[in-house]
Formats: sequence, structure tokens, C-alpha cells
Amino acid sequence: MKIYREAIILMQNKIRYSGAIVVAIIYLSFIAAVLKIENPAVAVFVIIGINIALLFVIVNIGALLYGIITRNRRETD
Amino acid sequence: MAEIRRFSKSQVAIHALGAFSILVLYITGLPITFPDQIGWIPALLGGYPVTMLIHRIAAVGFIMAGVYLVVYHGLYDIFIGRSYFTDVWIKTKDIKDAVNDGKHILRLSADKPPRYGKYSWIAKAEFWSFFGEAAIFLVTGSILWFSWQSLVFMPPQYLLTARYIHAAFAVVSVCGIAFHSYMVHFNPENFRIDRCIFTGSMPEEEVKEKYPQWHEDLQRGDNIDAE
Repeated sequence: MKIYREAIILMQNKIRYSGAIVVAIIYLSFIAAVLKIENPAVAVFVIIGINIALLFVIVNIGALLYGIITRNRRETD
Repeated sequence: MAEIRRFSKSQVAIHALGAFSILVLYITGLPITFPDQIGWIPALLGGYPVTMLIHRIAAVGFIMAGVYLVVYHGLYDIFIGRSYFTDVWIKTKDIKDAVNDGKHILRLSADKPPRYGKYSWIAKAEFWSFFGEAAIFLVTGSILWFSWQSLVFMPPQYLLTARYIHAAFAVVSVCGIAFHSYMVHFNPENFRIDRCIFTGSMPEEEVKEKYPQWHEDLQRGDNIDAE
């Protein structure tokens, strides 16, 4: 449990900018997809970006269900 | 530590139904717009007909959440005089807050950051943008769902236009969700998850820190609990 908490705190510190960068990648990939830029490197970037966006959505469903299921549970820390 | 009620049970329920429905709508709808990138989703779900069926079931859930929000809170606003809409209505202070926040982030002002009320200008902007997008999804989605019936009232090219508008706003909406996810999950203040929307309440200390204006209103007894 202690290791788990330490890992969470470590992630909390690291996530500050990485979360924003991931959101920026999603935005740029959608812009590139809508503009239909025909470049193999951009195509790979778009595939990665849109799949990350979908992953974001799936993570959100998980978070939503987790929040609903544990709504009566109090945070211990 | 004292807990302060922020969301009513009906608001918690609407968020749960609306959020679940729209997330399923993204998963089943985006592969239609981007088949080359995420065509594996329909393949996993059993093909495009199954994906479209799930999409339509989720759409019904989303419409139900929207109708409930508008009818219940709208009637509450009309007959009781105060509702969720009263709280999220955009005021002059929100525009000033947005400008001051911008100045503060860009370090153009030495003033303290704005003191938010119950809902900050960001929360209000998020709510109204989703509300507007939902209205567009409802109109364009209905045209596409009942395409044969729609052809009686409009030329075929309107259907194609509706399809493009539906897809374009879906992309804009996903970008909004990505921002929302960042704010409620990845923002260091809330990491891993902001539980307030599920429990409906938040600790007084947090209210004092994040929403000082709301805390002051509560202390003065100004802020009545809105349904």
C-alpha cells in the first residue's frame, strides 16, 4: 500500500506537463487528419494521436464507473 | 472536516448518464469518421451494423439526459426561481475573470488570480459549449438517423452537410473532453480523480481554497442550495 501511494505521488509530480502534452498531441493529430495532410510521417502521427484520443475516452469511461461505484467510499489520505 | 454540498443528486445522476452516453458515442462514432485510423473498434465490436446500433442506443441515453436537464431544471428555475441554470449563467464577472486569468497566466498582471464563485468561468464555458454541441448533435443526428423521412423535407445534399457538421462537432467535442479529462484527472490538483461530481460534496477547506467567493457567499448565507 505504501509503495502504491509513493508511486501515485511520483506520478502526481511527473504528470504536471505530460498530461498537457498528450492533450496537445490529440489536438494536433485531429487538425492534421481534418486537413488531410498527405505525408507518411504525419499519417503515423495522426494514427497515434487519434488512438490516444480514443484511449483517453476509454480511460474516462473507466474513471466514471470507478467514481460511481466508489462514491460512498471515503478517501483515507 | 466539514463537507459542503456542491451538486444535487439529480445533477450527479445527469452527469453520470450524460457522460457515459457521450463517451460510448465517441467510441462508436469516431471510427465512422476515421476508419483508417481506428477501424479496429468496429471490427472488435462485431462490424459496423453493431457499432451503429450501440451508437443509437447511446444517443437515446444522451438525449434523455439532455431532456431531463432542460425540463427538470428549467421548470425548477421557472417555478422555484433558482436552479442549476441560475448558477451557470454567464455574468460580466466571468468575462472579467477570464481576462484577468489570461493576464495572470501570461504574467502581465501582478494582481492576485480571480476569486471564483461556485462555478468558475472555465466550468461555465465547458458547460455551455457541451450544451451547444449537444443541441447540434441532436439536430444533425436526428436527420441522419431518420434519413429517408428527412428526404421528404430536404434535398439529399443537406444530409451530406448534416453528416459533415455531425462529424466536425464530434471532433471539437472530443477535444473538449480531452481538456475536461486533463482538468479533472491529470491536473496535479485533482490527480487521480476529482470525486466531487460523484459524492456531490467537497471539503470546506477545498472550497475556501478553490472557490473563495462561493465560500464567502456561503458564510454570509447568500447562496441557497440550487437543485
